Amino acid sequence: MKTGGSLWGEIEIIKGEEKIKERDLEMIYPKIKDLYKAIVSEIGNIVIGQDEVIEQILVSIFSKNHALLEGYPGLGKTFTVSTLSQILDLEFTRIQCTPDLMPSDITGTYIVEEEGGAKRFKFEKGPVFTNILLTDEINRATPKTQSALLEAMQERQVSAGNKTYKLDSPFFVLATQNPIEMEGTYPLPEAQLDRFLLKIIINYPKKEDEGRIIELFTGEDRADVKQLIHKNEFLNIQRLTRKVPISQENRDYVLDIVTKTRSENNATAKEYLDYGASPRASIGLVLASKARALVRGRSYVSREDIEKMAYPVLRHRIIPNFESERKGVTTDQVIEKILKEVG
Amino acid sequence: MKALLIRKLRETRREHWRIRVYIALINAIIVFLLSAIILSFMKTDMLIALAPALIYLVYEFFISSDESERALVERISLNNPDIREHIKTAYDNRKNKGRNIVLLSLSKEVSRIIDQTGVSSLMDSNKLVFKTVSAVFLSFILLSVNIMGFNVSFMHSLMDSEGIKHLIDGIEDSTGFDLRDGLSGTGEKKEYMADDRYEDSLERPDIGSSHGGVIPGFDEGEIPDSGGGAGSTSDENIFGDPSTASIEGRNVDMKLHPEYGGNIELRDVEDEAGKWEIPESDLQGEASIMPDQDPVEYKEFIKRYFEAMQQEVSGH
Repeated sequence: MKTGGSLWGEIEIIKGEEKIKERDLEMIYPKIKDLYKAIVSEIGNIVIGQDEVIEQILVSIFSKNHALLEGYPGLGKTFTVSTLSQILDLEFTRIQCTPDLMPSDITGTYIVEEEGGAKRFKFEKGPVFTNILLTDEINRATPKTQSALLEAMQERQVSAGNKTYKLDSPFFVLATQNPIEMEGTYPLPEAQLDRFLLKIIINYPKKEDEGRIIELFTGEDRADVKQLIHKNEFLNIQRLTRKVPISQENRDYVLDIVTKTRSENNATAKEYLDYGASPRASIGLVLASKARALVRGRSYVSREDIEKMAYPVLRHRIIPNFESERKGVTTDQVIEKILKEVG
Repeated sequence: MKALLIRKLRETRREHWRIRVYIALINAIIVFLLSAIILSFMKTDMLIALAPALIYLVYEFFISSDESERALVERISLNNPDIREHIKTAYDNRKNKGRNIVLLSLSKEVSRIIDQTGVSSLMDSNKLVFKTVSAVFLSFILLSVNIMGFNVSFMHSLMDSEGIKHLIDGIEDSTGFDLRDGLSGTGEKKEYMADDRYEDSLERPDIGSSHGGVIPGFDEGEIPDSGGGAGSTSDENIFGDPSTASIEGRNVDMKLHPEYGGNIELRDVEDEAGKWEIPESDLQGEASIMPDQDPVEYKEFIKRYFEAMQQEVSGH
């Protein structure tokens, strides 16, 4: 093989890197299930009674996507995410959104810097340049600020002036919103909601779990979490997620579910929904199912994965109509009905 | 490793082919037996029953397309719901290019499962047992129908062959049973009776009350020369009531049993201890093949008795 030329040399280097990456994947793959159990167990020491939420956050992270957390104040949304970032060896930043928050407050801005008597503009990176970005109460930010954030989420880059800055990898946005106190808020438009892979609902903990929370946070000792996974391993898990195969049958099942959310295809959707889910929902549902299968140590996507992930994937992508609001039918109930119909 | 899955599927497919051949043969036998039973009732040649069975076999092996890998996967999935998603996913992604550690792992897992479950997972053993038992049962029904004497010309065609002819002749000669007539296809079973052969073969003169005798003197009835003597139709007891005969000064008690074709009981009335009777079992069967029933010591007495009777009748 010719290796003397620069092009051939580069190809050899790329091939060598690929081999190393493949070897890394082969090493991490058999450990994922145990690693996942260890992560859940470690977070479970501090975040009590939110196993499903933790699973969904991890699914979202491992599938290289963002999640929207919705829950009442004081349920530990921020705490859960910050704890997770410690375990995953990732950089964590938090933004509290307010109506006066500017896009540059998130993305960064040019500042004048004096160097050797000369003044020049220097780009000061904003909090978006991190691994895990928690944007608390995103619906309190103005649409302009929301757009800036959502662009970063989608493109994984920030444009400032005539320059583009790549975001760190991995990059994961966890936005929270409060279902109450809607006055003075700017609800995210549907097109922007669609960019979040999952909408995770945090509910009140059970009574016994809440008892443990009181004990944990009112005692003298504060439990700490330890780092369980390195950044490289984390990135490899993200790469493996897309490698999880799915059968044609289950792919069709996903399509059936998503297309049935559209009123032209289904009577239930016609009755309760104004708008159905987009093709991005189909992609999201497959990806989320793949990630769930992977963390559960399965080498294929099962029907159960799809059914479990259908709720967080679809609930913010279908728009209920007046009739469903009048009858008090929630989006989760509509999804449940559609799943039964497709089942 | 993806090739491993394909190889495994091909092996399984070969095994499944063998099972399919067996099932097809059983099915063909069942089709044949059912057709044969129907034809035997319709009094038609049973060889025709081979036609539907052959048509089925031709369809199964030549016209019906060979089971594809996809169909095989479906069959394995159907019989093993636990591995349904594994195998389907592995098969659907078999053409994925590039090295995929997750898919390789799945392929290995599926190959291992196929090894464990084996070909048994491909067949419904209950169905197979049922078919086999049905074939045996139908065979018995067909045999029973034939032996019971329904029209089975197929058997006749078989019997036409020289070897079987000789065999049947031998059996008929030794048993006296008319096998050919028994399977004559008339639908009526002809019962064998000991004196049937006699009735059929012997042309005896008309005797008895309804016909009138033709042998002068012996068969005459009450009106001489007009018949109506002791005969087979009006009175079978041609020898009259038991009586004591005196032969050469010895009184001999005689009892005749015409229903046996010749049972003669001789009893010396003066010597009770010397009485004897021919056992009935010795009289079974045709008269022609019966052993000599009369004891040697009485033969001469009986002969003389009948000669004396003859002379007495002639004298009158």
